[in-house]
Amino acid sequence: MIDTPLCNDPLPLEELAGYGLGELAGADEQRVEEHLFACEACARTAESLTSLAAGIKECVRQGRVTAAVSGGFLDRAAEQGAKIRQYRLTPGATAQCTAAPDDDFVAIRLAGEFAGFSGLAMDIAFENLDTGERGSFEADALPADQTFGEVVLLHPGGVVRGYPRSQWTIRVRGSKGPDEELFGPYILDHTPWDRLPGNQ
Amino acid sequence: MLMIEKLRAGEVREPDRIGSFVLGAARMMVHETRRRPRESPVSEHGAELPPALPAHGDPLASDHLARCLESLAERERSIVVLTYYGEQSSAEIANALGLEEGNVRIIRHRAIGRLRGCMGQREAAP
Repeated sequence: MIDTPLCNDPLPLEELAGYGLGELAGADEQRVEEHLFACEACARTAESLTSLAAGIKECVRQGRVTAAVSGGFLDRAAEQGAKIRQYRLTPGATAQCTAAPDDDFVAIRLAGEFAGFSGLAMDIAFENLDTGERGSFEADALPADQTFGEVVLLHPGGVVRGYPRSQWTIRVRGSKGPDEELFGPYILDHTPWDRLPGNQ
Repeated sequence: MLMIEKLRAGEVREPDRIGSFVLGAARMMVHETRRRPRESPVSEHGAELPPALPAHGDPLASDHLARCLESLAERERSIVVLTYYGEQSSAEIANALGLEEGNVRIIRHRAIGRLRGCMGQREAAP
């Protein structure tokens, strides 16, 4: 069993995370460094945060995580070599979509006047067009990209490649004070890559 | 190495200040590294790094972390992904998502705490 050293005055996790991200001001950065230099317990915590950060990055890179992101994120990921298939939909629009064998991610960009809305929620209904099976689920507290005016949903390519021929109907709900506004529907008509004409 | 040799030879005039000197030199190296393009440290040194991370070395731990990430609230997961995969600062994330920078840090802090809890890690408590 490995003994975990104790610390009489441990640095807050938030401060250690900020230090790891290079977000601390000069004096705070120096104070944290000097503490880490002298405190094995906090140094271990800082090390575990570094490990966690790298693990998160690897999970996303391996296509294990679905998340709402920003348009800027897509640009940066593409610059770093990620292959991202993107579909941008306005309310009421339908997109024919798929995922190619080498797509790292599929990004669904739902356009709307989302500025000023807090707590966007999303209702998703799907139908398997081969079997007729239907289902639905919802997601709460989605962030919207205010620069591009859209909700950007990042899906791992491997997950989308596993979808059957199916139709997905998405509606976004936003609250502004006591009022609720609906956006959509946004419809995705998904066909597996190997069932597209020319790929069979 | 030069500093260690000088220290052993008794040629350092103020040995009590050696810690400050080493920290200062390390800080300058970190600042110099940060001034370079963000992707450069990994592309430059990635091949030299040992596979010390759960996601690289232990598929079970990696599966566990992926499940922990999926268990976060949507906004928490977004900010974690934007921070650690997108390498975006809390200011950039706040600007993109229309949040206060302080809120981004709070959400990120809460998410990290949940992930650590989910992964069975704990703080350096007194």
